[in-house]
Amino acid sequence: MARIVDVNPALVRQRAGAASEFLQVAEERLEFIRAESGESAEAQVAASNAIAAGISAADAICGKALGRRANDGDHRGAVELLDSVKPGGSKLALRLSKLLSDKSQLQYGGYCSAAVARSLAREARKLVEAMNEFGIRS
Amino acid sequence: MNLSDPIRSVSTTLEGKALRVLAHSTEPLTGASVARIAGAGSAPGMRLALARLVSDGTVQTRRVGAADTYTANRRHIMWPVIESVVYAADMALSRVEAVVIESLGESIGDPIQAAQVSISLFGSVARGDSTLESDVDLLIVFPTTFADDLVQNAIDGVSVAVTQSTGNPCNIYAATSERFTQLVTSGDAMVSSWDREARTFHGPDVRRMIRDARGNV
Repeated sequence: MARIVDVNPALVRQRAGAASEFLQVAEERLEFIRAESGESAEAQVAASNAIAAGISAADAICGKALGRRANDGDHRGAVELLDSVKPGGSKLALRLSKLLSDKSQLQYGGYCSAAVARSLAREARKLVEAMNEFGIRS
Repeated sequence: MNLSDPIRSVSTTLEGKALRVLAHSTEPLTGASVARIAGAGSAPGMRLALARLVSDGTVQTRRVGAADTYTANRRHIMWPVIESVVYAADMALSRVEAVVIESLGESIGDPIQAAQVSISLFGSVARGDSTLESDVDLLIVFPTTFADDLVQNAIDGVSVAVTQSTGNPCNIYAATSERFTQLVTSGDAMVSSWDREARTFHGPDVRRMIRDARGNV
């Protein structure tokens, strides 16, 4: 069963701030990718930060809307919780799910490609932008 | 309006806060949870508000174990309106920012020139602790090359647009980029405040501008 923890407004702001920062780093690293084909450290760092941005944004959204978030490491719980928010919880959960499916591979595997990094950054941006719809300010 | 609690433009009661919480959740929530998420009212007070909404039909209740839980009745004919109001309230600050950007664009004319203007929110609205009477504090940094009358027109336009769209006074701290750099290098007290809390929503990021100005010393 998912481990769910209560979240207070200060933590919502903290997670929102982290989400924005992670996304900024991800997008900055994308600019430094030298070749679109092949894998690179820049792409891996961009991808890892994009994933962190998405997770933090999801925590902020769930924290604001539901007053709680899934415990760290509980990916399925995080997706399920995000799915229950409105507006657009299902789509947001799908984006988070896409980010989380690559998380383990990136942490323990090799470099990733520019295409993967850009795709993850796009999903992360959508999650970070969605914070606005819940009145969340970082 | 209170930009830190925009739903108050439509409802000043706990019912409004309860509806805002329930509009964002599809999960059943206890009265205590609604009060905690809303950040307002005691649990008993919130339960009374929820009971009034249940009577109205816009909220449904179900007993789960020893607790009463509440969910939005999204089949209620008023629910689409309630959702629209809640979501509009949540987007209030973003919409004010859009009003500012639109006003700036109209004053400046040239989008390439307009893109060089840095606009940041600071103060109580940026911190999220503003009240009904709070000013909307904006820091606007214009390129040094802009003509004085262009800058003044832009400032006046933004000020009027913000007041018209919120009912709040708009306090604009305007500077040229050269003046801004001077403020940073001289250690002006406002700079620390901007570095801590200013949120740039148009043009160059103010925190990066501060670091660049410090780095060039």
